[in-house]
Amino acid sequence: MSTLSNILEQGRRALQVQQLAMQVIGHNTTNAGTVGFSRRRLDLGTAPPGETGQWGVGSGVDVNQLARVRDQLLDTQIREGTSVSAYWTTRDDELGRVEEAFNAMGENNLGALMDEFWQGWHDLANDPESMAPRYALKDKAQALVNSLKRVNSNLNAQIEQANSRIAAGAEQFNSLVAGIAELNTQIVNSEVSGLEASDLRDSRDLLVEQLSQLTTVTVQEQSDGTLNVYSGGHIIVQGDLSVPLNTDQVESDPQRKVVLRLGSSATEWKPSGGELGALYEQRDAELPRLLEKLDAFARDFSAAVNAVHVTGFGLNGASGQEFFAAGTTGVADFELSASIVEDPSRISSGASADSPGDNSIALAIASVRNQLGSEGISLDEQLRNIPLEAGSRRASATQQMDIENAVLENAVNRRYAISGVSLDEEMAKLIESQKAYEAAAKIVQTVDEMMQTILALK
Amino acid sequence: MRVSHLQRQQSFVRDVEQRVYNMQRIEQELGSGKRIFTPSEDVPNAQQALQSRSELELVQQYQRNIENGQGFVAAADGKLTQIVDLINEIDALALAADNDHESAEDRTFAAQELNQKLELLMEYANAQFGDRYLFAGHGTLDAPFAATRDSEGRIVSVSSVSPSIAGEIYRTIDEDEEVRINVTGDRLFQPSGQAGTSQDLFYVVAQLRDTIANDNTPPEGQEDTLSTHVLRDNLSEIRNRIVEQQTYVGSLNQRMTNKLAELKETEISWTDRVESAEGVEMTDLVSRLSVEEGVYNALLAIQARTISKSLIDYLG
Repeated sequence: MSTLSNILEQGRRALQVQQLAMQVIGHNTTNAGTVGFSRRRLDLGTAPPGETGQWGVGSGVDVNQLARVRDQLLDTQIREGTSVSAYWTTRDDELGRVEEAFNAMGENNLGALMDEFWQGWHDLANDPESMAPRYALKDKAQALVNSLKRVNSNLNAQIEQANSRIAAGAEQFNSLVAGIAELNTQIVNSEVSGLEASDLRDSRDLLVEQLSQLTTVTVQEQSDGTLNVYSGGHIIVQGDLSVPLNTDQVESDPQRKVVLRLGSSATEWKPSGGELGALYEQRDAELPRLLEKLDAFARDFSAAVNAVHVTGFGLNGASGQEFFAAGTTGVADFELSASIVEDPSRISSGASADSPGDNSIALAIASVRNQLGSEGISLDEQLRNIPLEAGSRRASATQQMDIENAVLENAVNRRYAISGVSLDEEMAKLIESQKAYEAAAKIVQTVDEMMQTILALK
Repeated sequence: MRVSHLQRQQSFVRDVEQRVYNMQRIEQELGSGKRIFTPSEDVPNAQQALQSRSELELVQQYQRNIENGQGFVAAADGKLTQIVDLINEIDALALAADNDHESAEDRTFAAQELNQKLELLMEYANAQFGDRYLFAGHGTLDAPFAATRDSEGRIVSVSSVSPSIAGEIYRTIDEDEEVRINVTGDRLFQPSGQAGTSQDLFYVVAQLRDTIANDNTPPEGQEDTLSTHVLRDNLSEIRNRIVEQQTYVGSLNQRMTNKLAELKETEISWTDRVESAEGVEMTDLVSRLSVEEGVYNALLAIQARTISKSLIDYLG
């Protein structure tokens, strides 16, 4: 037989369940704007029928599950996408900085200064008897040298900055893996005690995603709820243990290259993917390649100009002078010859002494622009191609970044759709819970009245 | 399809940022007149723009080279005309003096006049354009010819001073196109190694003067080389040589004028290429800006209606 106590118990349980539902709604609602938060879903079910007699009406409502709404497959996809996207975004940013260094489309870019240098020789050929075009030519050549050095120095500074950022990335990496290991511990402790650990899991997932922004990682959840994290075939988090990245500087390297070592390992750990992977690529491949191209140009250019210049005679009758410092090996030692700087009358314009009107050497040097350099193209083209090559690589990186960002954005949107909080939905649930709560309260009230009725019988 | 609060908010922010970026970019393009700021934005057009800019600079340089050379060439052309005229005058004087009806006194006057002509010829040979000697070869800063004079100050002989009088001066007027802009003194007056010969203009004129002064009688035993008749033949040959140079200079002047006109057209063509590679189409930009503004305003209006509204607004 159904008893009033059973009904009262049903009401009491319903009130508690609806209170819990409202608490969940409140938690969801207040975290609607929290990044990394996964909405909670309270799954209700009928309470198992108790000793309610032959009819087995049931004993009301009960909580089946309080679940964190999350799609593990999507998480994997987002983690991978985050790493790839971060890699291309960083490549794009870094190549953008390279483009800024060249300022290829702006005024006074290297190509424009190169044009002015050749014009300087034409102007000298037009007026070989004068000092004025020699002074102008010296200034133009100096401007070109300075600009090449400025670009060279900027690119070298970018290598140093990449070193700093790799070191900072390693610190962030260490902080993240330590955080994940700590959360592993807290999650196990919490869940062993039967407590809800969804928020901790959200925090851990967020840290893993932040880690995947630094480098490519894979994860494996263990039966006890802990997460093992791997990168580049190495385990970096296992339970409550994390493997930190150590940074070393290569003393023999002029730019004191920062290398990473995992834990106590003596071998260098090279990150793949993510920001760190992109910084490594930029520092160890992209920038050195561009710097070598600048060096090759400085070598070819100074050798080609000098080869003609030494055969000529200056206004003061001097011959055998180098225009650029002899033996240029790269931009670092690419300078105007000291004797030319000291006395521009030593700039050769003619092929014989005591022939102030002879402009044959000036004309010959002006035509050096079309001479083929070590790359088999004209010196002009060789210089112009360096920023264009960097631009082309950035265009490719930008395109790749756009594709990967779009893929990631789609995945993130899908996750928002699954795990995100919809205020409309929560409000609808709130009304539903409120009404259910009111109904449960009414049941309790009615049972109470029924009890009063019974108790009032005399 | 569920749409979460964060999804709407982030999507809105992203859309607004994209529109603001688009408008800012259009403003930047409008302000600068350029649509490429880094090569990566459009590699092929950036390459074309940089190459075209360089070619444009080069074409402008060739024009400056021509304009610079034209003054020199025009000055030489003018001076050569004067020299040919002078030679004609000398020849006319010699012809008159060679006439049997001329008196000794007339011939003395003619010889004096010839002496003046020789002085003028010397002056022409050392003519300058600015501070540069026109016919000095590479020795443009020194007078190319110096005269040896007798006790009465008359020119006896003329020799070239500059060792580089035969030096040719060139200007680059186009890709792989160089032109000689000077006429060397040796070609005109005194071919190398032929000073004091029938090819030496100064020598021929001086001998004419002396023969005519001597009542049209050459020194004994030199009738075959220094008679007025023979000297006039020499003068004629020299004039032909100078006219040949004058023709070269005249045609060079014309060639440079034509080249200049051609380069101006080429300059326009390269300017167009630069413009087409990196320039902006104002009409297109303004209409794009208008579209972006419209979209931006619509976006804000839509968000104002939707993002602030939720079921919360209808509760209670």
